[in-house]
Amino acid sequence: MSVKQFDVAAFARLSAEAVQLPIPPEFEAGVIGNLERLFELAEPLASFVLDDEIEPAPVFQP
Amino acid sequence: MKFDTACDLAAQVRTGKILAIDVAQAAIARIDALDGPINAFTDHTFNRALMSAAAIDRKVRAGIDPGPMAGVPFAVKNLFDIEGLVTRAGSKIRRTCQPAAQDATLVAKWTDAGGVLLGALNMDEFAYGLTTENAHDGPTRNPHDLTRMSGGSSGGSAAAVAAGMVPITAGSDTNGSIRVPAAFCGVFGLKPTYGRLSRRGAFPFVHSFDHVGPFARTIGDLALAYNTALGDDPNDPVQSRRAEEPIVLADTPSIGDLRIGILDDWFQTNAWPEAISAVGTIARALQAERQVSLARADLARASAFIISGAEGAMQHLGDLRRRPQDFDPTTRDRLLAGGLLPASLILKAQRFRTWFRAQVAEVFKSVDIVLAPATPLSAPALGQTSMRLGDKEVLVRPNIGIYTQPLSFIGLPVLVVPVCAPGAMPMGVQIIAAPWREDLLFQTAHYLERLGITQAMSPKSVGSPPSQNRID
Repeated sequence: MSVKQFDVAAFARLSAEAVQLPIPPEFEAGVIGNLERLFELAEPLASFVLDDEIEPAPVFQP
Repeated sequence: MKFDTACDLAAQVRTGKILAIDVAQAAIARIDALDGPINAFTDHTFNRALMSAAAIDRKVRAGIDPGPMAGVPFAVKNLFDIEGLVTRAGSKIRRTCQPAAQDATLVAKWTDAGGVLLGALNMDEFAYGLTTENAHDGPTRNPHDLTRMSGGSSGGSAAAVAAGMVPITAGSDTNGSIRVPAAFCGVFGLKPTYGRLSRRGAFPFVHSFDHVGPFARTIGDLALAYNTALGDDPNDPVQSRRAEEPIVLADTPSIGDLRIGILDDWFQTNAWPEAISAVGTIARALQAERQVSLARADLARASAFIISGAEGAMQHLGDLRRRPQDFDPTTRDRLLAGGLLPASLILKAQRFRTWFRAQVAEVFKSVDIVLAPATPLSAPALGQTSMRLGDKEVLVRPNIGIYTQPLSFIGLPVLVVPVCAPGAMPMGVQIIAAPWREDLLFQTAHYLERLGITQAMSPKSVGSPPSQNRID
């Protein structure tokens, strides 16, 4: 789904509630603007097909 | 104006030709005289500097070698722990924290090597930015033109070296924060391979991409700073357990049979003529003609954005919940947005990192070095919010790093060399190698420096600072 097709502002409000990260009203416009830019950037990444075998590479040495 | 190099100063201090205390006092006088309009320093450690310098002079008198950085003045981005100082990391929020109990590893290593710490340097809040327009401490201005940005987030580190206040500084680079200010201020900057240098005591931003590294005015000084920062640190969980592999600069630099390419596509598409010209200058000097592509650099940049937002938000989640009003407004909105990103995107970005690393590893089978602009244009004006990229008007802040982000995303070592056209603002060119091949970066940059193709220029806006107080 492209950014144009979903309500980023509504997502921001629900997501903020879900992760208990309240967004004060005076900061909402700036946060939504940034989130829109992130989703726009993410669109081609989300649709890019990676083989199932490809894993992330965290640096963790037990 | 001639600046003393760190290498020269150390050689003279070690042999007793000059006193470290005189070098320290001259550095203090330069900072006092020059930093007002530039605003590179946020903290001074002048007492510590004078005590360190006196101790170095005592060692020299006693016939003890004080180390390879003997008496060399240095300063560090204010996210590095300095014993006794609060590590502000560019923020207001951390100013009520306890002072650091000990120096960051890099600060300790330079100090142990005889370096003399003069203070801490301005930065974007929590290193999340590429402009050093800090809402709490004010902007660091570009020494070449005080109306322009220094770049960031290690803007104080680049400006202090560019203005000749100290010959060596340290910064950190997550998405371009060493390379962008080095380019805008016209100095050398090194972002080593991810995991090469210890990050212990450097306040974190994005665990996946955080690097630390040096700035200097010459390749010899950059190598000195890098070599003395090397070493295994069990307290850094991501540092590689590789051998130190210090840099040895050849007396007669050459590029031998190095295969050198020029990154095309993403790394040229939106570049301004000044950026294309700077890369062309370096490429001609290296007789590099081959164009090389890094597939899907656009997705590498997008992934770096997503991971930075998400990991940065997690770093500051408590304060974002409790006191969002105390963040720098530009940092706050991006961190809050990053905290709302879905896990599917963050993990896709992390998996893409593995894919992109494999693609780039293939590229480095047929070339040793690739070149790219550090930034799409020279330093914008302070306060400038938009700029032209290709046929679009875009925001400045998210787009200064379009050529740096895809490279730090997979931890490649990059050395930025300054290119200064007459009468123009400096530009920087990224010299890029395969992981762990910092030796090739230094070999190439040293050759260019010896040819006179790259050098740190004396800023016009800086008056004549007090010269070193020599006793010979």
